[in-house]
Amino acid sequence: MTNIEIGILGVAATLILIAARIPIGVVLGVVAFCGITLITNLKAALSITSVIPYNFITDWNLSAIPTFLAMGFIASEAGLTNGLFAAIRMFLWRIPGGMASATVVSSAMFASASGSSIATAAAFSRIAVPEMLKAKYNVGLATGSVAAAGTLGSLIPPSILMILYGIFTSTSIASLFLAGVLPGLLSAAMFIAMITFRCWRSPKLAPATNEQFSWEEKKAALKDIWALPVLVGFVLGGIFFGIFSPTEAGAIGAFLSALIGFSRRSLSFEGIQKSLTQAVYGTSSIFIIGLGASIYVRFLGLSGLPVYLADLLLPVTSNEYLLIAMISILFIVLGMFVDSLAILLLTLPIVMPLVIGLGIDTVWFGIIVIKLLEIGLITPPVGLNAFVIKSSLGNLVSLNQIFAGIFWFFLMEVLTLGALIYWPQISLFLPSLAN
Amino acid sequence: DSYQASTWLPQSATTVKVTYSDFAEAVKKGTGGEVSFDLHVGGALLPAAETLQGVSDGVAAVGDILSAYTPADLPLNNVVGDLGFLTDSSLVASFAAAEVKFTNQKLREEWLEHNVVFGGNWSTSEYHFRCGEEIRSLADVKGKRVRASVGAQIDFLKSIEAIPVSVPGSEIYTALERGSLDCTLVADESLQALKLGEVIKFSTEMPMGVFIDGATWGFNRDFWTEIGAKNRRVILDEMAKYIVLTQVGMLADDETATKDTQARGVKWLTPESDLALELEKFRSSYLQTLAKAEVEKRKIEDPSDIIDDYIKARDKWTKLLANVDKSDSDALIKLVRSEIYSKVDEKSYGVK
Amino acid sequence: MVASNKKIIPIMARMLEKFAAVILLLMVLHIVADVLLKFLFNYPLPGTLNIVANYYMVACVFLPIAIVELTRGNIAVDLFFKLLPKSIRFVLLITGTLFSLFFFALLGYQSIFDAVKSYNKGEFIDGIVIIQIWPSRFILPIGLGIAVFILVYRLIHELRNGEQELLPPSEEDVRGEV
Ligand code: NA
Ligand code: NA
Repeated sequence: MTNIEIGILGVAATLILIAARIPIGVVLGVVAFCGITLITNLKAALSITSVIPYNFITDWNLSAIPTFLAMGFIASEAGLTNGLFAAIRMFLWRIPGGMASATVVSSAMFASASGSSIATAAAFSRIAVPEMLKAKYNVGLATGSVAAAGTLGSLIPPSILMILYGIFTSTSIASLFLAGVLPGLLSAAMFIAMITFRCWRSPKLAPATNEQFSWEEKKAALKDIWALPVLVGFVLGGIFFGIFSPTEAGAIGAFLSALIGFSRRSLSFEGIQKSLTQAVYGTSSIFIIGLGASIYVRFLGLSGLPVYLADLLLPVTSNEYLLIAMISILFIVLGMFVDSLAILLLTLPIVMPLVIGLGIDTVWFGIIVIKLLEIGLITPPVGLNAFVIKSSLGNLVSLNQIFAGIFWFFLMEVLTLGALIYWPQISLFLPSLAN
Repeated sequence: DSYQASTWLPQSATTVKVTYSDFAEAVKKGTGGEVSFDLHVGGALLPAAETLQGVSDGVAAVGDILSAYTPADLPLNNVVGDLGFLTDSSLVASFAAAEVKFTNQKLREEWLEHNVVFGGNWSTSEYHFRCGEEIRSLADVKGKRVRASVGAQIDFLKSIEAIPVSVPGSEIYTALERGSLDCTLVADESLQALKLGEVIKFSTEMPMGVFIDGATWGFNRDFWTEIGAKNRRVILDEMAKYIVLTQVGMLADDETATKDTQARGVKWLTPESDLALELEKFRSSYLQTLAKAEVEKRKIEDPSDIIDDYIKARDKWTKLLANVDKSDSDALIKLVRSEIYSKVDEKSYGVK
Repeated sequence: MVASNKKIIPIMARMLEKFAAVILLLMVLHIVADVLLKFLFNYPLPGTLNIVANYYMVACVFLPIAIVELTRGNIAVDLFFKLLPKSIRFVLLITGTLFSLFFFALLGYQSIFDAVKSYNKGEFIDGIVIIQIWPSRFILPIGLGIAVFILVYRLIHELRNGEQELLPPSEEDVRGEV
């Protein structure tokens, strides 16, 4: 059997085993271990299974996950979310699916500051989703908005993925940061347009409240909602002014939400204990997948499958649109299985020479790449944002419901992607002003 | 046969293009296809901290091993790394360190204990202060948050009352941009490679040593043995060539990075005498206390012989390179081949 | 034996989870203290980054694996599973547990050697301060070992009782209604 054949067999086995309800992280880990053993030998496979997991866990960038989960759990435990969403509902009652759109806006803001899609999903699934479910919103719509809006974190600066792309491809990070702003806003607008349209066509997705509220009631509702905006504002401001890093922000957010909870007497020590326990439980179940995935990337790399696919898909062409379309397909396919950074590492060495050969602007291409990588975070079977939401909400939602809800957002992402490819100015307008 | 080659550096680095891609191509040609490599870059196969273990276990036949990340595994070779602080030329550092690691028996055996065969190393050029604010004098630097990761540089920063901080690589850019970091210590090339030239405003020209890698090519010992003496000779000869091309390429990168950064309006500053004097003082005391400090920190026997060997090699290469044009790759290759790689016996070196 | 296991095993798993929660609390406080000291007194706590990554994170990930396995909290796709007849579901359930057992046993087994090796060489990270990291390597065999133990227990339970829950879900497993 050639390495490529082992790779293809491995991917097929992965799909079958995941469909058979074997835990996803375990499937990835076991398939990768067997595949690496076949390609190299048992000793090398054992070595990888021993060095990769510890290295993966001790990556500083991932330490934001438990703290942002804790922030979400504590904020919802302390009831910081109650008043705000009730108020949003009162004020936005005319707009179909107003709470979902408000979620898109607020988590897009949060994601852009934190720079991490996963951290945003961790914090906002607990803050926003239960409130939408209380208002009888469709489960898929509620979770989909958090999953999809979270992905804007890497498109709107600052963004760790852009920094890495800039370093890997020797592209100006400052230009990338500027170039990401409009595409990020466009994506958010597309999400909101889709939510509004769908909820207008079928109101039962997001039942509007029947009651008409008086101004007195609205004023009363506003009185109680300061906590969450203060919390989010403080976290955003702290990152913006360089007081703490995005990675540190989760801890600050968790600490601050506990302080607010205590000061409002809505949080007890039992509440803290419960939130932290929930956070470590979620952390562990997310990282079990991460562990498996980190070994799986090595398996794919050793099999040579990504290179093979790239050679197969990427024709020698002088048509830049054809090349970018094929790269998009390649990234979306790979994005189903491996995470953003891994795709960059596995494919850039093959893709970049072709891109540069055609004289394609690497800033524009970078924005397309970031968009594609972010799409990978929400596509099944391995969609990290969906998993984070699942582990934050537990039995409240099923993974199928989340992925079903994401489908509509995925469609919007594809449309946005098409627009970004067709109109490079969307990305390149702001950088051109700066030069 | 086809073997795996792993580097943690990203594709865009000279050390990948020249040192791994071109080198692999040359080895394939030279061995008539008997030895060819599948290249994995950016840590896609083995992350920096795990390359030593991975090469040792045969996950990859060859890898770029950053010894600073595994201080407990390679204590003696890390002593050589610490000596980079006392060297202000990347060429001298690279060739002197390689010569010592090939010839000093303790250093050679430390690699072999890990089932790894040393094949050469690279060195960056000198580190300087790269800052958002003007740093000229002792007073300027006091209380500034400076990112540093090398032991000697950290100690020097403490001695001048700066505050050394650790910031992960992916966060330096944003930290400098936001001002949560005042300065970082990096070589010229990083201004371009890590894009730091976009977020600094000043560079203070005060060389604080170079950074020496563990092994540009660390070979799995079973692989090294298995390919036979003829192929080993081919690889040794190619390494002599590519260690030079790597360093020359990095020098060119330094120059481009400096030009681009200056074109962005970043100012190059000369330090005032009080700051420069402190560095001089620190350096001379550093060498005097180094052996003792290493014994304590690394729990090793007195490494004075290694330190002496390196200092000798450093002085020797400083002299040798004084009369050579730094951009004349062919002359440099000839020198490195005759002084280092031709002296390595392909029949016995590293073989099991 | 079985009766006493029924108590001891969940208690053990819960204790590890609670311990991990305490670690997360320490992690939050440590980072907050670091940020405050940095901001107010220009004095960052040395080594915070490495302590967070190598100690707190490792504990937060590996200690709760036992309770995740005991409560079947692993993330899985049950879209097709629900449509299958009971007998096939039973086979898949057991297969899943066997796969998990293999995976965690493999990781756990390797981690023992890594921990011992790390201890022998006194593994540390060099930086602003030297951080000994070998003790953190021992968190893996502990967390994974107990997880393996629990998976064996779960396997026996599943062979006897099929899909029936082992441990009634508690609110803390993020399973309750909001
Ligand atoms: Na961002
Ligand atoms: Na995906």
